[in-house]
Amino acid sequence: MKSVDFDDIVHWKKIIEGDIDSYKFFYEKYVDDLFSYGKKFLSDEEEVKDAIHDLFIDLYSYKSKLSKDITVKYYLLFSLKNKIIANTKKKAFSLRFQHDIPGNVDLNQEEKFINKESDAALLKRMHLELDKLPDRQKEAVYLKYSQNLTYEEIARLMGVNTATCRTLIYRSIKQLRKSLNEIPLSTNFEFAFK
Amino acid sequence: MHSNHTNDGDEPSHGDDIKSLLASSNSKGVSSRDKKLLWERIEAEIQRKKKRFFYRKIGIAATLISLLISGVAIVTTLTTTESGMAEIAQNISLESFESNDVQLFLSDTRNVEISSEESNITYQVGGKISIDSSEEFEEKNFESGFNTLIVPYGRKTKLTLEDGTKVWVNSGSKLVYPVSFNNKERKIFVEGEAFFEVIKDKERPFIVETNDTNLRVLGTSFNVSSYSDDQTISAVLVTGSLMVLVDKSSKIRKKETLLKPNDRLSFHKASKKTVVKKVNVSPYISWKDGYLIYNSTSLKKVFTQLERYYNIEIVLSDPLISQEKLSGKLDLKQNAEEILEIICSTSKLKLDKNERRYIINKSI
Repeated sequence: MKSVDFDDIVHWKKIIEGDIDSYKFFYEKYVDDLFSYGKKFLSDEEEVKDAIHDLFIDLYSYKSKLSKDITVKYYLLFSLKNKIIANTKKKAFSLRFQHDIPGNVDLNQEEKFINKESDAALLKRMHLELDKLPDRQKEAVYLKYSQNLTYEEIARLMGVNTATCRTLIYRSIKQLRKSLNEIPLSTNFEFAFK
Repeated sequence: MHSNHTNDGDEPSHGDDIKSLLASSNSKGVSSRDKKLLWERIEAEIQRKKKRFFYRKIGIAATLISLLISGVAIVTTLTTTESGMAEIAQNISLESFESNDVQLFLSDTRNVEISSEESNITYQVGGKISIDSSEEFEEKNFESGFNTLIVPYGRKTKLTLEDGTKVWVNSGSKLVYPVSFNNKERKIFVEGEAFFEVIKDKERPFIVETNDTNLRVLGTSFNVSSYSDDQTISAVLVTGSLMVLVDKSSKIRKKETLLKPNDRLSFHKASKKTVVKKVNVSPYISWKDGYLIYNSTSLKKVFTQLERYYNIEIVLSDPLISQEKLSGKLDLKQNAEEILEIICSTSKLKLDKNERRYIINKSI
């Protein structure tokens, strides 16, 4: 069940009133997520920052039109995606959803969980397999597991219905398990996969 | 955290393991410095939007000022202490520049050249100046410094002062003004032509100084034309109210006139005569929107305006040509030649061009 974020509700009300501190609150809370999502579509960091900038400015300009009943994180990600689509349409090339495949994996996060060298290999392997998935599946999986959105939210973001969305994600996990199970694993991964 | 439970063969109903891996893998994020910079960008723009909207609200209130100003306020005489701005203006002659660009002189003798044909200069509280929303300068002496703006022939500029007052400056004009207004009044010196939209501030009357007159306003929009090579100075009031002090150097004949909307005051410099007439304001202010509107206007006036706007020279083969009248609307987006062609064909004149000089002949 999705837990209600009271902080968000309070600050969102203030956003509608134009309170700059609340904009800052949401910025600091979600900029990393926004940047991460934006980077999936645009390889240029500056373009992603521009999109985030435009997003917040629009949030201010159209504040009187915002609905009070909103899950903020979902709304911000959704708006960012639309911003990016709108911006790139002008450049007329189609939007791809792409993870950065860690070459020399940035293990700061992962290191907390895994600290063996071969674990890095697995991570890399997982990223590679993930990348083989079609764009839509990649995005759906990302939104579910990296951004923790609900199936409904992901469905709306991707323009499909909720059932399709569940199937998409189910299929992706199944596929990933299959590909990862096929490679010889070091015994150190007993705890991760059986 | 990983869950260490085993999974049945190929039933990926939970996929906890993969999920945890997915969840924990995040690509490189933004550096905290970049994050901070991006927020500053966002915040600055939101503040700008806030200010603009705020001033727009005040501007609307200002234009609703009625004619009913208390008699007491009107009778107050204007101070005639010279601000020194007229002297600053005198030291800089319009013709003394190599370049044709708009020049902004800051108080520390730095000067900024602005090459766009129509520019936007905005002053913010605290001495920050932005030009065409791209360049930014800092006026360090913002408490007591004066800035001088020179708009040569052929250029136009829109200036937003520190209090939010907007000034459209026409070609061939000089403006001197303090970077920050003091607590008692807001005074600015104008030579040339400018249209003002003054932010209402009861505590600080807005005063426009020209070489011969002072115009005192509370919160209004009006046009001032005070070219040194013109025989008359004029002020046209669009909205609000305007107190004009003419012939300020004279000890005896100093006179204050209150203008109401649609009044035009003209002061003839030689004869010192003041005339106030009701007019249709559009011909006098249309220039700020890029049009010239004429209502039976003498070609002499028309050509003078065009000379200033396009920075060209117009020569009449027959002086009587200047007395012909013109009515209509000219679009300043067109170039000089196109506009002169239009005028000539309307008035049955012939146009010739010799380098920068346009020669107008009577057509035979």
